Order: sequence, then C-alpha cells, then structure tokens
Amino acid sequence: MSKESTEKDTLAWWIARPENTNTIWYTLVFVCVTLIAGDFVYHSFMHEKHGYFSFETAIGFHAAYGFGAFIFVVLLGKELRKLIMRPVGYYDAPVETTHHDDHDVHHTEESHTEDLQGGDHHA
Amino acid sequence: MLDWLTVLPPGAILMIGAVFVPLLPKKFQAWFALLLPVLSAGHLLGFFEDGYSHSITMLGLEFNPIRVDRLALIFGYIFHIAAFLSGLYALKVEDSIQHLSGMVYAGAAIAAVFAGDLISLFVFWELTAISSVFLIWASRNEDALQCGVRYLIIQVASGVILLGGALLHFKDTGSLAFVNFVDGGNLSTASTVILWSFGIKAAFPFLHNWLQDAYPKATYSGTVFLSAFTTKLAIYALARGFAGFSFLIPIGCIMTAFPIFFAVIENDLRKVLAYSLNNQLGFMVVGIGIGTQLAIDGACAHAFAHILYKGLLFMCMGAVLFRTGTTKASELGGLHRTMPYTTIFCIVGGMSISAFPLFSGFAAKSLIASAAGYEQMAIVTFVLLFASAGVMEHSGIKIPFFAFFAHDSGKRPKEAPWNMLLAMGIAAFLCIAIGVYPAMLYDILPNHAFDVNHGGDVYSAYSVTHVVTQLELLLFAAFAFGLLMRWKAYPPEVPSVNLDFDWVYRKALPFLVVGTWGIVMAMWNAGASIISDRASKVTNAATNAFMGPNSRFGKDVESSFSALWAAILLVVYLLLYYV
Repeated sequence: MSKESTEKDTLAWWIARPENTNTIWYTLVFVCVTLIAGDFVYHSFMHEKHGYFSFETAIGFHAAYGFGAFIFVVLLGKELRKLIMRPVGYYDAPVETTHHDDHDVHHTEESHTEDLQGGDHHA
Repeated sequence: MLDWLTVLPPGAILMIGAVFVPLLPKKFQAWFALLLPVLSAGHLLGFFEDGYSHSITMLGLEFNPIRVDRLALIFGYIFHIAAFLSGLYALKVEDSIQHLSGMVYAGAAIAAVFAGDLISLFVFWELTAISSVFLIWASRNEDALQCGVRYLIIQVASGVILLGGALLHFKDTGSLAFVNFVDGGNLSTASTVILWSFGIKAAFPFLHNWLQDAYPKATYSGTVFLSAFTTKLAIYALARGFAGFSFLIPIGCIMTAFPIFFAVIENDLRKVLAYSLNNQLGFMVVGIGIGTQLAIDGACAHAFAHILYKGLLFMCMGAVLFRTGTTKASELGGLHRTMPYTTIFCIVGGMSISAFPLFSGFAAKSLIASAAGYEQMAIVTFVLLFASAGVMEHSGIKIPFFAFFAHDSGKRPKEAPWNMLLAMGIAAFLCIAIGVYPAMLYDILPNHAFDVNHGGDVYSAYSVTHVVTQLELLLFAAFAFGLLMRWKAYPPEVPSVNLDFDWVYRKALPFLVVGTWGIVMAMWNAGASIISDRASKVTNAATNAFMGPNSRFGKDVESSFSALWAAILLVVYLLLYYV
C-alpha cells in the first residue's frame, strides 16, 4: 500500500474532526429549533394536531419528553454506577486459556490482560 | 414422489443437513451450511401454505408437528433470513462445531414455530437450548465455558418447566394443542407454569440475566445467531399462547425501561446490545399483552424488524471484535477511519433500532404505540416513549459513537472481510427497505396490519404529525447528549463489571451454598468427632475392662500361679482319663 493511501485510510471523517464539532452542534441546535417551529406552524395553522391523548397534542411535547428522558437516564445511570459497579474480574477473573481457534479469536490476549488490571474505576 | 417433504417439518432440512457439515472437507463446510437455509426456505415456500396441518397419532395421543398459519409463517420467514445472514457472516469461520450448532439451532427454532402441540414444541424448544450452547463454548475460554453451563442450565430448565406445564395442561383438558391459554383474562395453573417457561426464554425481569451473561461471551459470529432465535421464539410462543393476557403489559413495560440504565453504564458494547435486546423484547411483550389484532401485528412486525437490526448491530460489533479483539468501549474509538463500511452499517442499525422515520424500527414500533393509544393506555405510552428515548441513547448513539468515533483509540484495524460486509449490507438494506416501504412487511403480518380503528385500512405509520413528533423525540435526545458531552457530564467509559440479577446466582447463591456446605461440613466433623470420641471411649472402656493392663485378662500373672493352674488342669485331665 502506498503512503498516500495509508494516510487517506486513516484520515478522520469530516464529522469526526475536532474543528467541526461546533458546526455539528449548531446544526443540531438549528434542526431542533426548526422542528419545534415546524411543529408549531403546521399544527397551529395547517392541520389540527391529533393524538391518542391530549398531552400528545401540546406543541413540543415529544421534544421536551425526549430531552428530559435522556438526561434522566444518563444521570440516574451515573448514580447507579456507584451502587453496582465493581472492578473487572469481580466474578473471579476470567482466565484466558490458549486459543485453539486462531481464525476466530487471535487477538484477545491484549484486551484481557488490560482488563485484568481491574482496580478502582469509580469515576 | 416428494410427498415425504410435506410431512417433514419446516426447519428439518437445516437440522438434518447440519449433521453432515462436520463430515465435509473444511473448506466446503461453511458454504454447505450457507446452502441449508436456502434449501429450507425453498421447502417452506414450496410445500406449505397458510392452513396446512399435519398430525400423527402415537400412543393414543394426537401430535401436531406441523401447523402452518400466518403467525407461524412470519416467524418462519424471518428465521430463514436470519439463518442465511448469520451463515453468510460466519462464512470464514473454520470451526465445524459452530456451523453445525448454528444451523441445528436455527432449524430447531423454525420447527418450534411450526409445532402445533406442546410436546413437539418442547422437543424443539430443548433442542434450541442444547444446540446453541456450543456457540458460547466455541469461544474456548474458561469464562465462556462456565457461562455456557449457566446458560444451559437455565435454558434446559425452561424446557423442563414447559414439559411440566404441558403435562398438567393435558391432565386438565385432555389436549396437548398449543393454542391461546388465556381464558377470560385468567390462567389455569398449567398455563401459568407454561408462562414461566416462556418467560425465562423471553427474558422477563429477574429471569433475564442469562441473556446479558451469555450473549457477549459467544464467538463473534455465534452472538449473531443467538440474537435472532431464542428470545424471538419465546415472543412467538407468547403471542400464540398468551395474547391478550393483560399482566404482560406491566411486565413488558418494566422490560423496556430497566435495561436502559444498565446499558448506559455498561462498557462491553456487545453487552450493551444484550440489554438493548432485552429492552426491545419489552415492546413486543407489551404488544402481546394488549392483545388486539393491531397489537399482535405490532409485536410480530417488531420481532421481524428487530431480528434484522439487532443482528446487524451484533454483526458490526462482531466485526469490531474480529478485527480488534475487543468490544470494550474504553478500548475503542476512531475506528471509522479504517472500517468505514462497518461504521455506516452500524449507523443504519442504530437509526433503525431508534426508530428514525424511513428506518424499519419506525414502521414496526408505531403499530404497538398506536395499539396502546387506541386502548387509551396513557402510562404505557409514557413508558414506551421513555424507552424510545433510552434506545436512542444506548443503541442509536452509544454503540456507533464509542466504537467508531469518540476519542481515537489509535487502533487502525482492517475493514471487515467481504462476507461480513455483505451480510451487514443486506441487513442494512432490509432495514431501510422496510422503513421506506412498510407495506412489504405489513402484508405478511398475521392480521395484515388492518387498522380497525381507522376504517380497516392498512395501518399507516407516516403522517406529518407522527414524523415530526418522532424526530422531536429523537433529536432532542441527541441534543441532550450533545449538551452532556459539552458539559463533560456524560459518564466516561470505564472497564468494569456491573452487578445485575445474576449476582444472586453467581455470588450470593454460591456463597450461601458454599457457606451452608461449610457449616454442614463443620457440623458433620464436629458430630463425627463427638461420635467417634464416644465410640472410642466405649470401645476403649470395653477393651480396658477385658484386656486392659488391670483387667482380669490383661494383668501380668506370676509364673508360679500359672504353673499351679497348669498342674491343676493336668490333674483334672488325669482323673477324667481314668474315670
């Protein structure tokens, strides 16, 4: 493989480059605002908002619910960690035996040795 | 001449054919295994149609090994697709046992779906358990070996419970037919037992942990097989036997909600997917519990779509495992550079499971949500919406983001081999095809997706309102993710073990057993020493009494005394001689 193509292969995608993070973020913000605006315009002037329940017909209900649910899940997950997180190897460390099947799993040593270091991971 | 093919259960070709796999030369094994789902699909499509039934009488009992109806057919179709895609994905695996067990497993699941009586169901139910465990053991390490044993015990127990329930049911009703057991909203004792059996395989709360335990430990291709069949067979069985049993609604709701929290903090991405699988099963269980025609269609549509996108996601993570040797989020990141196709397929899978419009999850999940809406189940709707946002978190964002983007791990693995890419590509294509053209899927649903609350037309997922509200839900969830990342409030990925219910039987129970055993042994030893003390005292006392140093027989005797006794004896003898 030539040097050029190797570099091309390892080049990060546009969306993954740090200098574009802000562009992506503000695009997302823009799309979200547009969605709410569209929800408002369409359901106020063009088409009555139908739903199975009255709460569903509020403008932006799903937006607020999705946002709230996500934050709730992540923050509660963080609390849950304090309760249930244990170091790797808690259930009597898995001991890697020799690999009989080289085609399947010829690279697991590295990951497992790292895992076995375990220790205090409470972030 | 081909009549015998009509009495051969669908899936039998997979099971019988698979037995020949190990006999073939290594390089043909995988290709032959791949041919089997094609032949079996031809068998199903060519010889069976809706309404076909085949019964046999044995020992005075009527068995119904083949019953074909629309509920069985949709699962039969998707199981064949899954078997083919898994086989294609595993084409470069040079391990006879995996090809053998994978195809027997798929065949058994298919045959179970077409089983019309409980005993036939039991036979294939157990066969899925026994054949699939080899996909875990094939990882060939100590951890997988032990995990496989746990998996096998739980799966076989499910079958044994099913058999017990079937026999009770037969005693009560005189029938072995596998039909709906819900009698006016109630269950008999026998059908409750059967529900427990199905509940284990469907990963009901507290019965679920075998799934998160086992699936991440199977081989990279084994998990793709596993993700398709076992739990969806259970979903089929629930839809057949317990449709409309309202108790399933809260169970399903719990299933959709609780795995989300575990998925958020889990580091092993294949385990995240296992939790995600559990959460998806919840949607189906809710649909089955609601039990209206639309809800059952929703559960089936969701199972169909789910097998494809979940299989796709497991394939993507399998490719990562194959190339890098790990699926730990803390060790991954930045793989999109060298695995671009896998990245794209993973994003398609993530968008499908998150139910973005134009992806399969949207077309399928909407049926269940609408069915709940029609029944005015507000709490259920709240929970399902919450779960949808959660799915967006763990499968829509976390899986693709931490594997392929996020911080650069520095790993530069090669792209997945062509056969894996092809299997992923077909699955991704089907995910989008179902999303863009849902009629294709609705057409094969048990009740044709007829929306009776909407004039009986075929259900339509696409309205401006529905698309806008769904996008709001998902994109504001993404917005929340962005915000948490910018605030650095998103929990970092750390190598860890997170406790779940399996702690009870992996730690607490062994501790109790070992502890109890220890106590028992201590008591035994104590008791034994007391007894042996006593016994030895008694024997010692006896010995001492008769033969001890001071006993009559043990005393030292003077020789004169002995000589005297000898003389007396001789005299007595002499006298007796002359008498």
